[in-house]
Amino acid sequence: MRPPTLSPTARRALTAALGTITFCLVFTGLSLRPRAVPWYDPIGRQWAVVLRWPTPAQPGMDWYGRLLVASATAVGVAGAVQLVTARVRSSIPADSFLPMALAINTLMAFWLCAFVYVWTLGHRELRPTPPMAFERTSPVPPRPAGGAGL
Amino acid sequence: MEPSAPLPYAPVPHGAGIFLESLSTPLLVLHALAATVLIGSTTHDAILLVGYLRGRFGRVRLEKLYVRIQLVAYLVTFALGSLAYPAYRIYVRAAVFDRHAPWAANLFDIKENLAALALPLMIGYAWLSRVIDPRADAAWRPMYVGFGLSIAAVVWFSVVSGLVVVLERAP
Repeated sequence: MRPPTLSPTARRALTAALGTITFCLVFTGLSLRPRAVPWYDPIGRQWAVVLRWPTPAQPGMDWYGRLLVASATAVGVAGAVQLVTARVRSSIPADSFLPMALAINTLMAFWLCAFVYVWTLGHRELRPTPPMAFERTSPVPPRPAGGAGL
Repeated sequence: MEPSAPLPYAPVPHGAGIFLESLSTPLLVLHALAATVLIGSTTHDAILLVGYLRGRFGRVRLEKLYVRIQLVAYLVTFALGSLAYPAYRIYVRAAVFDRHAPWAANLFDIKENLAALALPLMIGYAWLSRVIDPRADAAWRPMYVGFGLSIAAVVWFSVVSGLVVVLERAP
């Protein structure tokens, strides 16, 4: 008789946990130790793979690129976990500490990454953006008329 | 009625040709509406999750329905926010917040990064919700409840901080 396989709940829980941990570590890691990721240039409407954005007067956005890289890595890990757990011929005993340990580690990784963002961005000192090209050439809209506010 | 106070900064010219900039206001309104659905379903779900911790399993089907609504609302809110983001980055953050209200720029960045961090948690949670039996799968219940309550915390923080940022300056 073949030994039992992992339950669908166990397989999905393992996949969700390891996928989440991977995403959080990659996404946060790319913020702390920048690597070349796709940056979006909203004014130029183009993409560039760079380590740091070179032109402060034409701001770039690395959020999409970090999201893309972290998502792709997490999907890869989640897919691998699904493949591996489909071949595992063993069940997790009811009294095993593994599910609790996995829950604690996943949530710790998630909240630790969240804390990193809250701490670093909460203490970030921004430099004012230099005048952007369109600010010098586009007409300035009129101020809203006073007296209409409550 | 008192006259409205003058803005503490000059009006920002438009015309940089940002992606979807002409739709930024409707996108922001839809983003807010989707966030309203999201915070409602998330809060209802969180209340039922606390019930699981107390051994109450009478509304499992309803809880799973909330999770489905929550997933759709999260993805829609996230997608709409992502579409409106370039216009915010230039006309709001670069032109106003970075120069006059850096605290708002930092608060927004905390919100956007927390919302991104919670994205795999939300997808994994909804995927797990399809198969888990909260009463029978006692071993996996702490993870399920932990995921759901963590998502609830992030959603509440994101909605409140989004409101605070919009009160400072909407695109």
